[in-house]
Amino acid sequence: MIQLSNIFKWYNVGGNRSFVLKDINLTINEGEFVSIMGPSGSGKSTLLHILGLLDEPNEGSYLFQEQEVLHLKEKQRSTLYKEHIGFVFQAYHLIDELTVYENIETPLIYKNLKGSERKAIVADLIDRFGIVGKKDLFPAQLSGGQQQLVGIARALATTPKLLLADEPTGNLNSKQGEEIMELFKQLNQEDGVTIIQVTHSEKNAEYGSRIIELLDGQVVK
Amino acid sequence: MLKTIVRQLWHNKLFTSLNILGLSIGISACFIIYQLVSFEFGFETRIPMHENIFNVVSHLEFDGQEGHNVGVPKPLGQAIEAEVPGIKFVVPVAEQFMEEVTVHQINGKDKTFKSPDRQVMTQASYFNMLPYEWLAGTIDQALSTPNTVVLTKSRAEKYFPGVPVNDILGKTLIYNDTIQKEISGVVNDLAFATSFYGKEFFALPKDYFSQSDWGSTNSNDKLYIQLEEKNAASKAQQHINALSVKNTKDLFAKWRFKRDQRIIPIASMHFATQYGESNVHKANKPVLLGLVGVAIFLLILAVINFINLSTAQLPRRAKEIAVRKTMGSSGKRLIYQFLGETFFTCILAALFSDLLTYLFLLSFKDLFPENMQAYINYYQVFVLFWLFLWLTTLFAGLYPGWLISRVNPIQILRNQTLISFRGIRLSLRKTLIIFQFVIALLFIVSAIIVGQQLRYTLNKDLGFEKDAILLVNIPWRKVNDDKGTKYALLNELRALKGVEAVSLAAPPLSSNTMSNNYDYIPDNGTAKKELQPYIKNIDTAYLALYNMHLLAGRNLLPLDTVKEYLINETTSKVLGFKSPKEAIGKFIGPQDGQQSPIVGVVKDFHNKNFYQSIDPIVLIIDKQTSTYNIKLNEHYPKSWQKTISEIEKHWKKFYPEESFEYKFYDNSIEELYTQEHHMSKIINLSTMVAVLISCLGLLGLITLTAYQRTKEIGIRKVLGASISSIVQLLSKDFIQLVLIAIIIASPIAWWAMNKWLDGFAYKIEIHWWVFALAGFVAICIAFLTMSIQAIRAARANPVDSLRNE
Ligand SMILES: Nc1ncnc2c1ncn2[C@@H]1O[C@H](COP(=O)(O)OP(=O)(O)O)[C@@H](O)[C@H]1O
Ligand SMILES: [Mg+2]
Repeated sequence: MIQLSNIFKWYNVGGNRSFVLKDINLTINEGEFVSIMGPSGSGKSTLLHILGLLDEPNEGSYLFQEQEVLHLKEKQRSTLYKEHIGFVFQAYHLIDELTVYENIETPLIYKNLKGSERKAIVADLIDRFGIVGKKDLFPAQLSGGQQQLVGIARALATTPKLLLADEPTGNLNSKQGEEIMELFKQLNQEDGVTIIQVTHSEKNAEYGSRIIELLDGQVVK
Repeated sequence: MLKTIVRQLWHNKLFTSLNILGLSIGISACFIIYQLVSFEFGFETRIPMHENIFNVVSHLEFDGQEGHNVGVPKPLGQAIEAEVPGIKFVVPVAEQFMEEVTVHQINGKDKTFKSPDRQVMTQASYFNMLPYEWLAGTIDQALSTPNTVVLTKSRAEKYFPGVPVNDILGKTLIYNDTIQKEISGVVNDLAFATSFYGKEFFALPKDYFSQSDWGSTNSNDKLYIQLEEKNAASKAQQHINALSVKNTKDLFAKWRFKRDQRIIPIASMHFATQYGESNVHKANKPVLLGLVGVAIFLLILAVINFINLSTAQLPRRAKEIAVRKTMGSSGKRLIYQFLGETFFTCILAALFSDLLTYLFLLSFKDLFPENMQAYINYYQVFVLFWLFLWLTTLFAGLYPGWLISRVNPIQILRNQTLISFRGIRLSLRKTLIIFQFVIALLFIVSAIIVGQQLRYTLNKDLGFEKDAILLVNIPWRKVNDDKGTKYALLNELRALKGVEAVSLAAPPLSSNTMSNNYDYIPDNGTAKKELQPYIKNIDTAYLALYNMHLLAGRNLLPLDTVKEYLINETTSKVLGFKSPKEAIGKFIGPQDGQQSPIVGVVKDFHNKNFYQSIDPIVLIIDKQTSTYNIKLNEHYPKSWQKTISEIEKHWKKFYPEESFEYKFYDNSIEELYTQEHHMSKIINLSTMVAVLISCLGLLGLITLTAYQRTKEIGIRKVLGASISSIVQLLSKDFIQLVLIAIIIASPIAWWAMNKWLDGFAYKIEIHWWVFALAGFVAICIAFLTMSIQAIRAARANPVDSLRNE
């Protein structure tokens, strides 16, 4: 599904190139559940952003479903977001001005779904994540774990093939974290969603089928 | 402090430049309007005791019509001097028209100056009343004898370049080849705005006061008086009027004619447009006051813009402010800091507006009186500027400053209040934006309607065809030569190739009009009817040349004296005929003159302008004609230049000494509307300024909104939002504001424009689509302004805004 070859990423700091990713080669198959680990500053987020097309590498190639996806036009990229990729963030990144319901509905609006279809999908997700009682609340009125559930529900609304999660449990306590991990495992095994997550916790990493370790921008394992 | 201010302004470059630009445009507009207004209102005010100086004028009444004449009967001046008490100076002024002046220059050569202007006849009191300085000669003998002339310094320089004034004294000037006058004095030029335009002064002829009777009023015979006491004005007026009435009682009773003498303070004369004066620039007071209004509006707009942009910036600065507060800065200190920023911005804006003003005046010279900038009172400008600086700083800086001082540091630092805090101010900002756009829309609507009315005026069916017609004037001296030169030339012109027709006649619509009193004595014995029609001298070719239609009867016959009349439709109606046909064969004629039959009725045509309705007009064949109306081939403009040079050749044959000057008639008709053109231009410019300032405000706000919503934009993009949907998201609210502004502005504009149009006898209808168009324009402009920033925000890479850190 994903094939990265010779990915380099650097920033120019005071005239010198400071490498964040150095010669990354990576293949991830459909249906895998991959955890990326490594110390802070090792380039995990950058790698995830590149995988999610939020950021572009300075060198290298990226095949997504056998297609070169670097240097895509804005429009094609937003189509990929709409159709195939879902994001979950450590800071949840819900839209403050929208209710839980509206937050989950937003990607469906961009997908140009009809009102009735949207209603069915959102109702389904809210039901499944057990947040029926919260659907009219605003993000500020929820706990961190609840917010992250909404974030995941929103990411799944468009039934993406690939779910990218950057430290999804970073701001949660361990019990909440476990719940989220269970949910990921279930999504991976029952719905066949390919998941790539960044995590610091060995325990969380164990939920996945494969661990990639980064050190100073290089894959060490 | 200054360092912090400069750094702060530099840090927010975009906002600082928007602020400076907006303010400086407002200041420039104000400054230009101030210059114009203070120039126009400054007329005569720098003459010492100008409150005591009055212009004596005549107010005429006849047959229910009023007339104004700036002149008075010639004998009046002397009579006032003799009989009215409390008068310090009596100053008669009459313009003298000389064709040319020949100067015997120092190097022995003669030099001739063609049609020197600004020559007046007056007496010594003129120089007592006005602040002239004598550079050579003395006031006592200067105009003591008839054959003397006094020059101003500039005129002396023109005639005798580089010669000291004392050497000019005693030199002789020769006028029109025959009249010799000796230079008896040189005075300085008046260095202020004034209607006392004379540059070359002659003595009034000895018999001036007695040469004409009390009955006639000529606009060339002006009379000024200076009173000892200005409160004595009404008394003096009564006295003067009594004098005039005493001398004309019997005369006027017979004609049922009335004339009042009135006295008007000279400063007011500048605005008295009803008293036409040749060579004198008059100002329209309502237009000037309107401009003051425009200036105030534009300035308010600019200040609002400033407030809007500054308050909009606050959330962005909240953190800085909060940190400062936790470090112990007092609210007052923060306000000072902010006022300092405002003050500094104002100064920068003022400096920049200097440049803008200069560029503007350079590009739109013809909108303003030519010597507008000659007499600027820099002291006043400076005072006003300081006043403006402090007031703007106070108005534009105080409110945002107060808001700053209210910032609660704990909340800000906890990163909470931004939203709730934003709420209040957003509604204020919204109100301000609406207000700005209401003003902008008012300007847009008036620009459209004034333009429409103007175009309507210029394209309206005049009742005659004005295209491809040349007007050539015969010099006044040659009009009545007995050799019949003008008819000989007429015949040659008619034979020219490329000339379709020529008529020696007064053009149908012109500012020079002549009217007379006529009687119609019905043959059925009913009472006679009086009317005061305008008289047009025409010839037989006239109707065909101007494509005027006869509604009844026939064209005039080529006769030598007035034996028959053409009248226009209005005359026919005024005389009470039910149809034009009925008028044919009826007799009319000048009062107590020969009565002759009406032979034809011409369809109405415009004779003066479009404000007034069409007057009664009588067309006659008369020898007193001085204008060639030459119709060229309308369908072949390329040939015109050639034809015109042909015409010139023939002209030179008959008038070898006169320069050949021509005008296209359609152009000179447009010239009649210069004031409307000016107004339309000023409104268009003001519209541009208003729209521009409003857009600056909008630009600032959208930038800020985009900044505040960066995170949201990033999230939405990751969820698959397209750029256009994000642009829409950002601009939707503002477009709503513009819509509200449209709803508010439309009725106001509708009311105001109807009021304006009421002043026209022939006017356009206001259509609803004007408002739709104005609204559409406003929305388009608003959207264009915003989309630049919105698109930029929408295109930004979400990764930057979504970082966890
Ligand atoms: N815009 C940037 N300019 C310079 N360096 C950056 C920029 N963004 C990230 N980095 C650097 O890239 C490195 C990797 O960052 P990141 O991928 O966020 O690490 P991780 O997520 O593993 O903690 C860090 O050292 C960080 O300082
Ligand atoms: Mg990271």
